[in-house]
Amino acid sequence: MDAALSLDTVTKRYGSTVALDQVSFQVRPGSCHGLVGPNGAGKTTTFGLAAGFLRPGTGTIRVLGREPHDRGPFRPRIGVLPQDADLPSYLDVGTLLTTWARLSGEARPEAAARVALERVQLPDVWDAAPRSLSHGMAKRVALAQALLGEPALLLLDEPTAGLDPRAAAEVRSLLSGLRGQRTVIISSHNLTELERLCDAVTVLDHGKVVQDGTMAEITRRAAEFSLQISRGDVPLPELRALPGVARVDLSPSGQLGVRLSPDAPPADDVIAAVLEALLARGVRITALTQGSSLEQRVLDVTSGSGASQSG
Amino acid sequence: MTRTELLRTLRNARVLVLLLLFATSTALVGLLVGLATRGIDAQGPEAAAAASAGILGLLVGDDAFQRLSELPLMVPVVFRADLFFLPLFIALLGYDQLSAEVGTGSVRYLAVRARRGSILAGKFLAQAVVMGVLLALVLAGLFVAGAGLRPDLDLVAYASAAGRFWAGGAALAFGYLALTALCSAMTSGPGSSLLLNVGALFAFWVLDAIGGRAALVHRMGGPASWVEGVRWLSPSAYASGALGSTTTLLASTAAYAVFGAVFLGAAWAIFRFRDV
Repeated sequence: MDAALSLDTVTKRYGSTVALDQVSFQVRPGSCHGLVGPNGAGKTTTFGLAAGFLRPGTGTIRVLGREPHDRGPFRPRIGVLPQDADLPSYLDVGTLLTTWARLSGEARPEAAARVALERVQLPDVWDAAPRSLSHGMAKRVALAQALLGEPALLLLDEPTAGLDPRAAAEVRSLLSGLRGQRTVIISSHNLTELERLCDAVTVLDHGKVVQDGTMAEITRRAAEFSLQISRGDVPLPELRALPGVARVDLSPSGQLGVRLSPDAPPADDVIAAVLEALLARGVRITALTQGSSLEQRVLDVTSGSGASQSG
Repeated sequence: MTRTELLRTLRNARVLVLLLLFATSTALVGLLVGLATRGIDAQGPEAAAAASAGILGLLVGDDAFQRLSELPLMVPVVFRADLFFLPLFIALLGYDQLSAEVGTGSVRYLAVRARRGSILAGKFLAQAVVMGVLLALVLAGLFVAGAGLRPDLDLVAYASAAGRFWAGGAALAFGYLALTALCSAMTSGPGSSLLLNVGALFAFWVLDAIGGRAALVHRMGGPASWVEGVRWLSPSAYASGALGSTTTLLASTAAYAVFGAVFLGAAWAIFRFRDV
């Protein structure tokens, strides 16, 4: 099956600055794919290239099997939530969305525009001027336009940035509902959010791909887990002797880290065996975490220049 | 696309103020020129025509001033003044049509669903419709006001002159609208777009002035020079064609069609391949 998005040795320069350097990765159709990395890593440039807003210096990009800037009859059906793009101020929200729905090929543009606004929980702003909307509302209107035309691929650059917690949760719920129906590529500050939503992740740093794989691979869900011990004596030798356990470490704060050997049985079997051994010795456990957090993994593989995972 | 862009243009406060300013300044100049020349028009058709001929000779380069002298003097004088300021007015009207949207990123909402050429065409056509209607309204006002100064007018010839003026003005507007579209397509901010547009207008005006001066020296008995020809590379050189004879009007219209096509073609080529 063709990839929904594929970049093959893509390089993009802005003057003497190299924004993307020989970047290659693919996004599986129907998946939710996260694009993460520090400020200036090249995420927004990648989005711009995939959406056809920018042209690569070298390399090739295919979106749903076609050139991204193709706007002919067989153009790729994509929806884009661009980062920091103002809504045009000259028309009311309803007219803007209706116009965009018409351009997106909707047979009943006004109805489609109203449905899109309802999906982002903003049916009341139909007659509002874009400049009268708060940042969060404008972001949701922009998200509504991305949904017009039932795109096969959605490119969402920071979809929850600037939203209040309730609105962000509603957007996450909307995105969860899209899983499996269409390919969604998300760039976000919020790595916990990406970890919850995405099946796969590409980590960029200084314009290069530094990690690319499924969420389970990146976070090593199948390779390690940790337990928070509240009290009791941990039988370390006994745990190390369990089948599939390669290494066990106990930190002074009570964090018990277990790494699985490559030939280990399924992780849930090993977890069950470890828990059984601990509970039999009266050890009390307050938390179980499978793998490392995405945030920790991203911090591990990227350089320290962008401590925050944005940009 | 064009309808939406038309709505956008007509809902833009700056554009509305500019349209009002253009119409008002035309009316004001018309009033002043009308007051100054009503003595000439009141002398009767032959005497008025003879008195107008000298003034009109300065406005048009060919023998068309004889035909123009049959009109109330105010009409060609004010229209010529309008044509002089029209390029700057067009620049102020449309300098931000693409550049502002590229600057704010809002063009991306269109670029993801429409061809770049369609975006450019929609914006250009909207501006062209506004200019066409504005020219028609201004000319209608001008000719109606002029009719009051010369009650003995041949109405058919008078209406025909209005049509010729509109065609000439529309051709000029087409050329300069295309130049404005090119400047806007090349830049990523309204400020730089306006600067480039006004700079281009000034450069064309200087080119016309240099060539025109060399031509004048030649006509006065001086040596012929290749410099005379450079003025024909400037759209400014064809402005008076809108008031000229049929041949001059056609030549002027053709020249503006060529300038317009070149500027629009360049705008399309640049906007199609640039990053937005």
